[in-house]
This record gives sequence, structure tokens and C-alpha cells, in this order.
Amino acid sequence: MTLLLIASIVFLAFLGTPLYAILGLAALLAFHSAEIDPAAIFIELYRVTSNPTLVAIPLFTFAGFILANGKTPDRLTRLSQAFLGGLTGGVPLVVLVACAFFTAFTGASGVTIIALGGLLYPLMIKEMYSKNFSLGLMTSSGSLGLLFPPSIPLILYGLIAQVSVDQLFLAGIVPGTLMIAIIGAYSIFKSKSLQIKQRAFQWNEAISALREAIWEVPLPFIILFGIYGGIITVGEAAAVTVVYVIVVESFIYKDLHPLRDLPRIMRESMVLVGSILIILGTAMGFTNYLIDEQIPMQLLDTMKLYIHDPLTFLIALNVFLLIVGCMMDIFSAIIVVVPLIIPIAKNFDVNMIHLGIIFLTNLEIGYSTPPVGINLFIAASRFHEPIVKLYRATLPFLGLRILGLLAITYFPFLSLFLLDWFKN
Amino acid sequence: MISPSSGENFLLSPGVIFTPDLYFPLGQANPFTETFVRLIKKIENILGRIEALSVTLLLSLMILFSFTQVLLRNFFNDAILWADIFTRQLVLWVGFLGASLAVRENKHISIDFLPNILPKSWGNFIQFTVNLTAGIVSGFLAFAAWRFVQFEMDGQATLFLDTPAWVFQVILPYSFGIISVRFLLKTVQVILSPEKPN
Repeated sequence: MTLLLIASIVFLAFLGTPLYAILGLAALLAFHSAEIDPAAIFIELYRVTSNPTLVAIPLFTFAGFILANGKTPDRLTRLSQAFLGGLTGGVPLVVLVACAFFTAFTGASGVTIIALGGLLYPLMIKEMYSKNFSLGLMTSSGSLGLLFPPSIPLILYGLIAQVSVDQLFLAGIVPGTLMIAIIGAYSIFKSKSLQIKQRAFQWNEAISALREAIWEVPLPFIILFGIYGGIITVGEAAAVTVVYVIVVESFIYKDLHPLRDLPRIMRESMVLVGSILIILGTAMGFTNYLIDEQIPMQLLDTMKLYIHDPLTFLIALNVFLLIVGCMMDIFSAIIVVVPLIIPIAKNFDVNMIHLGIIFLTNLEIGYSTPPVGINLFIAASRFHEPIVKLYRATLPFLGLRILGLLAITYFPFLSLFLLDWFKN
Repeated sequence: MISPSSGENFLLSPGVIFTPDLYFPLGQANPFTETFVRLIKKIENILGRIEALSVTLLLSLMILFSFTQVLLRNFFNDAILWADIFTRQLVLWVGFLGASLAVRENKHISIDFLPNILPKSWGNFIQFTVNLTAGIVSGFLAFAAWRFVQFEMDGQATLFLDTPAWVFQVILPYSFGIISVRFLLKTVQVILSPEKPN
């Protein structure tokens, strides 16, 4: 009976029923059978709303949407091209840096591919990079940068796992750079083998591109210095970022009309925030029920029959999360899976900050993992290419990123040494 | 309609079950149903506009309060005592209004694994099942949320300046309720005018 019920809920989920409803249904049934008042579903949501960092989610999301809607993508592309375009593998490096910056601010909701794809993909084709390589790079870059502040998934992990978001921001910097470096090295190698012509560095263009983007360049530094200089908290940094971005985009660059454009962008961004928050609302009640029922602990007992050390646990976790990552979007995956994994991970003595970085790296890769990684579908419709072609194009990148993932997983100091360094 | 060449038993194909003539015989001919559905839609539409306006106002308020707070703290060594709690409640309002608008724009997060691999003729069956499930579940969640608000009313908890906590929490039953109505409307829409698979 229970199995049949679970099977039909899973079927409804795969059919495309909104996830919040699936989790709500599971919670309602579970609470009903345990004779708990259904009102209890929302108690956990209220615990989350008492966290001062919560306000950072809508504020950073809105800031990211403003950047995506203005002409920031153009200025950013021009700037990185002026500085990196002259190097070997220059244009791919432009793609990597521009996408990483953008994803950090928009939280890998597919916005990166949509906002930057139309600029960067033609640029690569023009420089005679192969179609296959260009598609693969664009699709994979759509989730690169997820580990850099102020990425929304990092904030969400912090809220759910109850670890400090500013520590997570620090921890993500080295692993995120490593992922970019790996793909960057591959791009340089590839561009040599394709014998792409190099262009000379032009001082005039560099200076004028820098002058044009002068208001956007300081953005990441304002956030980093603000938080790590001990001046403001993450939530306050979000407020400062939003106001800064509004002033820059609407009043200095005048890309967006404050009354005609901003209300529309507010609505669009809050629809995204809402679709995350409502999952948070129904999922937290359900996962909390599962934890009360000792489900993770039972799972742990079974696992202990086969797994005895943290390393094997992390390998198993990686495989599991890659599968989750290609089925689920990153936000729901964090909300649903993190609370259930944490008790198990604690048992294997995994550091919670390190666990967060592993989580996000996995889910980031899952985004462009065949057959159902969401970025593949977004890229297919953005570049008008059949999905199968994208499977093939992303494959080498997938391999490289898994190498990066292994390094991040098995060398915790990559995530943790900046934290120790800052403590001293 | 479904072409027999699609290689499946077209009588068993779910696309057929929900065509108006088979399932809803009065589909277009029943003026009462039509007027009723149209009325609900009109109300839903008006609410949608109010929600959209509220989202922009409340988000602006949230930005205003949190930024003022930063200025006060860093330059005047001062702070509005209740502003932080208030902005956090605003997150809930803005978020759940956004979730409610997300139904109108088909932006709810889901795992649409099967719709990508099943033949197109299943479209109506999938739409019907998905919207009906979401509608019913949201109805129950609205009830659960209302119970939650009632508990808070009984507990007489206050957040700041003597404002009772439940005043902020009513957004939960409201948004789940209107989300339920929106999904049920979509379900009716699938019955009344199913999409014809090519």
C-alpha cells in the first residue's frame, strides 16, 4: 500500500506536477497517518524566516535580474574581450569569465545562457572555433560561477544547513577558480590544435571598454570587501548591491527606465523567488517529518554495512548527487536533499562547509549532464540545435568537470584553507 | 486528432478521453458553465493584477527598509528596532505573491521528465492530471495554512509594535487558496478546450 502510494507520487512528479505540490502531498499524507495536525507543515518555514540572511535571496535575485535585463552583458563581453581576447584561447576565456560573473549574480537559473548566449556564441563562431566546441563550452559555462559570491544557491544551502553564509562565500572561491582553470586549460589546448589566429592587444580598446564598464567592475569587490572587511552582513550587502545596481543601471547608464522597466523586472524576479520559497514551505515540513521518523538514520545503518570511511561515503554521495542534479533544479535539490544528507554526513565527520561546496559542484555539473540536465534544454532552444548534438558537444566538458569535482571532494583544504587563513 | 500512423492504439491513447464530445458532452453548448467559468476567470484576473502591483510595492518597501537600516547602522550608529523583523516578513509576502503569480506564467519548478519522452498525444492527459493534482493539493495546503494561522491567533504571539504574528501569516492560506483556484481553472480549460495533437 505504502509502496503503491510512493510509486504514484513519484509518477505524478515525473509527469511534471509542480514540486511544491508533490512535497505538499507527501507531507499531508505523512502528517495525516501520524495524526499530526497539518498546520505543522509550516512551522519549519517559520524557523527559516527568522534567519537574518533570508532577505539576501530576493534582493540578490532582483539585482541579478536587473543586470541581465540591462546592457551589462554587452559591456561585460566587450571588457573581457579587450583584456583576454588577445591571449591563446582568448575567446573561450572571455566566455568563462563573463559567464562565471553572470552566474554568480543570477544563480544559474538558465539566465546566463539566455542573456549571454546570443553575444558569446556568435563571437566564438566568428573566431573560427568549431560549432561543437562552442556549443559545449556555452552550455557548460551556463552553471559555472555558482560557487562564487553572491550566488543564491550558496545562500540557500547556508539557510538550510544552518552554516554561516559568509564562510560559504569564502570557501567557494578556490574550488570555483579551479573549475574555471581546468576548462580554461582545455580551451587553450583546443584553440592551439584548431590553430586559431591570435589578435594583438589594443590599449585604446582596453581603456575605452574599461571606462564603459567602470561602474560594474567594482560590484564583486563591494560585496567581498564589505562582508570580509567586517563592515556589513550578507543581508546588508544584498541591500547595498540592489541600490547600487538600480542607481547604476537606471540613472547612470539609463539602460532601464525606473518606472517602465523596474516593476516588470521586480515581478519576473519575484516569481522565481516565489517558486523557490513555496518549495521551501512544503519541503521543510516533510523532510523534518522524515528526520523525526529516523529515516536518514535507518539509511545510515544500511550504508554502514558497505561504507566504512568518509572517502567511500563521498564517492557514493557524488554519484547520487550527479543523478539528482540532472533530474532536479538546483534550488529544490538543495531544499529537499540537504536536510536528509546532513545527519549522515555528520556521522562520517564531513565538514558542513566542505559538504556544501561538494553539493553545489555536483549540482552545477548535473545541470549539463545528459539526458535531462536543464541547461541542455535551454541551450537547445537558445541556439536552435537538436538536443542530441548538445549531448555530444558537452561530453568532453563533463569529463573535465568530473575531474575537478573529484579534486574538490577529496582535497577538503581546497574549500577550507581560505577560511583558516582568514581566521588568523 | 490523433493520426493512426503515430503507431499506437488511438482508442487507448489518453488524448482521446478528454475530447469535449466524449467526456464533456455539453462542452461548448452549456452557456451556464461558460458564464460561470468566465466570471471566475475575471475575478482571478483582477486578483492577479493586484498581486503584481503588491509585489512591486512590497519589494520596494523591502529595499527601502533594508538600505535605510544599513545607512543608520554604519553612519549614525542607530537602527530601527523592528525593521529587520518586518523585512523578513516582507520576504514571505513577496515570495508567496510571486508563487501565486508563477501559476499564471507557468513558472513553477517541476521535474518534467515524462512529458519530454512521451508522445505528444499524451499532452492533454498530462495537463489534466498535473493541474488537477496541483489544484487539489494546494486546496488542502490552504486549509493546513489556515489552521496554522488559527493556532497563531490563539497563541496571541506578537512580532513587533504589538502587531500580532498572524497578520503576516495570512499570506500563506491566501496564496495557496488562489493557487488552487488557478490550477483548477486550468484543469477546466483542458476539459473544455483540449489541445488537438497534430
